Amino acid sequence: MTSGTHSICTFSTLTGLALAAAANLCVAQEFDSFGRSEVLPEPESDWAFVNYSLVDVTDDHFLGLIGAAQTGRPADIEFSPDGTSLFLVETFYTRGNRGERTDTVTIFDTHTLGVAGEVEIPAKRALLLVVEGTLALTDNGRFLGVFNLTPATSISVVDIEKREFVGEISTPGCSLVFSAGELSYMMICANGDLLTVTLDENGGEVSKERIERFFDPEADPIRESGVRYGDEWLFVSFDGMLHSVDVSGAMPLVGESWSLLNASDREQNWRITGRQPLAVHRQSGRLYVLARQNDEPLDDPADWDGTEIWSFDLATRERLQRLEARPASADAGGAGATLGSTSGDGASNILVTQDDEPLLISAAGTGISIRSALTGEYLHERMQNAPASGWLTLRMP
Amino acid sequence: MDSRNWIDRRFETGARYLARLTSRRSFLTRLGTLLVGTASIPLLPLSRAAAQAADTGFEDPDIEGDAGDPMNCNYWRYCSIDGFMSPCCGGSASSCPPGTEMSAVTWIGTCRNPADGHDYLISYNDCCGKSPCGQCFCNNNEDDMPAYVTARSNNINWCLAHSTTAYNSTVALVLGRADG
Repeated sequence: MTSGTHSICTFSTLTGLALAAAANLCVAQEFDSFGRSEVLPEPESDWAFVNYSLVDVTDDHFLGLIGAAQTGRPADIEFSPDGTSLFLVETFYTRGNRGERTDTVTIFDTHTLGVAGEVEIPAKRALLLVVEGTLALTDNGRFLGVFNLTPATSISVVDIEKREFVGEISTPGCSLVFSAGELSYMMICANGDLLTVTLDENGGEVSKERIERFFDPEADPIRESGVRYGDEWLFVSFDGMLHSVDVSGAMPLVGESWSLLNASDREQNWRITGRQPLAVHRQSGRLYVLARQNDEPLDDPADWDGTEIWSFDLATRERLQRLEARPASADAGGAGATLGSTSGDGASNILVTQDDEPLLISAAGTGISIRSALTGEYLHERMQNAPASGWLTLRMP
Repeated sequence: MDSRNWIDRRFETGARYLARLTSRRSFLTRLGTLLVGTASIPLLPLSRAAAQAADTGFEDPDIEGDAGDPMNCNYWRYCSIDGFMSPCCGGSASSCPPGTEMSAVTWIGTCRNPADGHDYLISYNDCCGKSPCGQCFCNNNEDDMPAYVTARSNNINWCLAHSTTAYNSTVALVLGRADG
């Protein structure tokens, strides 16, 4: 149906009483068209997903929602190299939350946010509390790896170009999947090793090789939530050590670990915490971390908000900033009072846009805050048109 | 309750947890040697739990002393729980609510029973097949490990091996003495 116009004047002149008002009412009213849906313009660097909701953080504008199935946990969002598609992994049951299970890699059009296709994979994908490491795209943009846990561990490989399931690669003792080169994935093993899985040009397994003792899981385990910085992956340990691994070569190259906590910090019992504790601004080489004080080491740091956000120069390892994790105007978080909440006294997730003048996005359970990542000056103490909290993903990673 | 929050609930925590942290790490240190080599040690309790759950239901061993209150998050068996306590949902500390199935695989923790001062291996089996119970959320993470140490992680939906992975609640089975 097309839009049209209708003269209100005709109707208004039926009554003399309306004559005075008619002068104002006598306008051509545009009729709305039926069935129209918005299509997103070209993405901007300040667009971010809060779980599966897409928002413009500068304009405080809600752009749309990925209609993903809710029977599983939000997983990583991966994007095609040309930016026209995004990939999720979903779980369905024939009877809502029971019945036959089907897992899919679902392909969404990034402009319409509609489903553009799907690839059925073995119904084995891991249902975890952690988001990072559930899904990874090889750096050539061709093969999507889905982490499976049954509790046997493996990777399902999907050919994005052909939109077909290629096969499953068994990865005993090693979990979570990260991009690690043109045709490789990296996984973290329970004994602290790193496993590199390399594919051939058709997505078949070529090799699995281990780097021994990337960290000591008994003495100081690393958090699952790593962050990619160029060719490196950065992980933080429970005790605040930053571990790095370079994945540009055939085999990962482990870098020197260093402490995000100086002697004074340790004396004051500062810890690195939060669900999504690390963010990097690539151009400036600045690392942002969530930190809080706690007398005893934390058994699960993800449950505890950071009360401060610190930034570091990755080249010099110098700490550059100490920011409050959320504005003083933020509501109390209601520690543990509601489902899905963390400690409620700081921020749980952080992300940095990749502009020349980056924005620091922080999720505090009671709202999303936006500020300059360089000065800490707030743009929005609390976004009005965004979910209160969630896992943060840049639209243009 | 909306099933999409089944995992989010596990991020929930309370101020009570903070108080309980004291001395937890030192406790872990004491038990660290016991749990080293997790690739093999947890397999025994895992299969035991599965076998017993599949047969006639799990029978708690006799432990002398005050049994405690299984509907209280401070109950000794819940030192590493992360979920809704089964006794608040129609089950008990060792049985699942009606209409749910006990998960065959699970994560294992070690808790000290204040009644006799001994440490016990505890199997935290999820009850599966219905939406989250929503009652008595309890989030103690003692000895919890990241998800890549699967047998010691409560950040996993342990209904994963069932025909439905819907999570309802969690039991805490006493598998045996951890301190000999």
